[in-house]
Amino acid sequence: MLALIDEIKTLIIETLNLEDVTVADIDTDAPLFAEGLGLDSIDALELGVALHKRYGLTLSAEAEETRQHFASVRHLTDYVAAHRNR
Amino acid sequence: MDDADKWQDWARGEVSLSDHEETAAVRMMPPLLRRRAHPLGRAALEALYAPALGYANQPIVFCSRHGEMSRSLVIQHALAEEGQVSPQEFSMAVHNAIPGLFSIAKQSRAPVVALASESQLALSGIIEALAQLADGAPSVILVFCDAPLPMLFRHFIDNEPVCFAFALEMTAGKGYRLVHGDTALSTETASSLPLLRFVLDETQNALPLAGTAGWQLLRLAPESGHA
Repeated sequence: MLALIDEIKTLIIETLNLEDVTVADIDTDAPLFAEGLGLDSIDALELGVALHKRYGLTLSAEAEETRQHFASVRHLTDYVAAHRNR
Repeated sequence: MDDADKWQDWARGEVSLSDHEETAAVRMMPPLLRRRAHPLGRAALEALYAPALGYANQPIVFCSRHGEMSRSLVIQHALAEEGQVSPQEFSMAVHNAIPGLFSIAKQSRAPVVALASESQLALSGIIEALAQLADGAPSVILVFCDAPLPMLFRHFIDNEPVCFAFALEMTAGKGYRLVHGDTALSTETASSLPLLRFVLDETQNALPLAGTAGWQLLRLAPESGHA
């Protein structure tokens, strides 16, 4: 699971062009959006596309559970581990 | 190339612009905003952040013939090959995205206008800035930027040979005058970089901005003050 956590942090950094941010800088339990890493709604869409390409996941932009999956790297990792099909 | 002396050398024709410049660092912009800009946008942002400009919420007139064309091409390729485009790229694929990013970073609510024009870009920008001044703005920031086009497009149109960006502040004054009339003998139409050269090189007295249509920018005698 630790490897997947780092893989997802790397995916976030590369997908969103987070200059000057390293895997070690991202707190696994901190919020990804707003007060945490500071990502915005366009980043959420971009991550959705990346998760689809990498893991075959389809997230609905409207669904409440999507909000929960994106709450932190840990939430996202749990979701990817449980539902990935590639 | 970002220091004043080198640009003066360029205006005198002593050095040419290089196509091998490093991408502008734009250190003054928060990284979360800066990451969205491509090299051309970064060059324009660096010009807007220049300490010498001292941006103070003036209206911005952003002038670029093609904007970030490399971005449009990436989106079109993605659409053709994958049927899905990057939301991040798409959100920035409008002509006013770069000055918009700057106004977000500065939390400025001043007007932002983005212009594209094939040949009369300098004239269009100046007229828009004059309109803003006439509308009551004490000063207006004009930004000009362009870059070499992706190879795919170069067969079809003329191309700026280098990536460049510069910002000018325009205020009402007596340094220059935009005239239209019997000076219409010129067939030349100055684009962005010739406008910068004209501003820097005080030996030039007139700049044709619209070929035989007759618009010219005149430099007035120094004793009448600066504009």
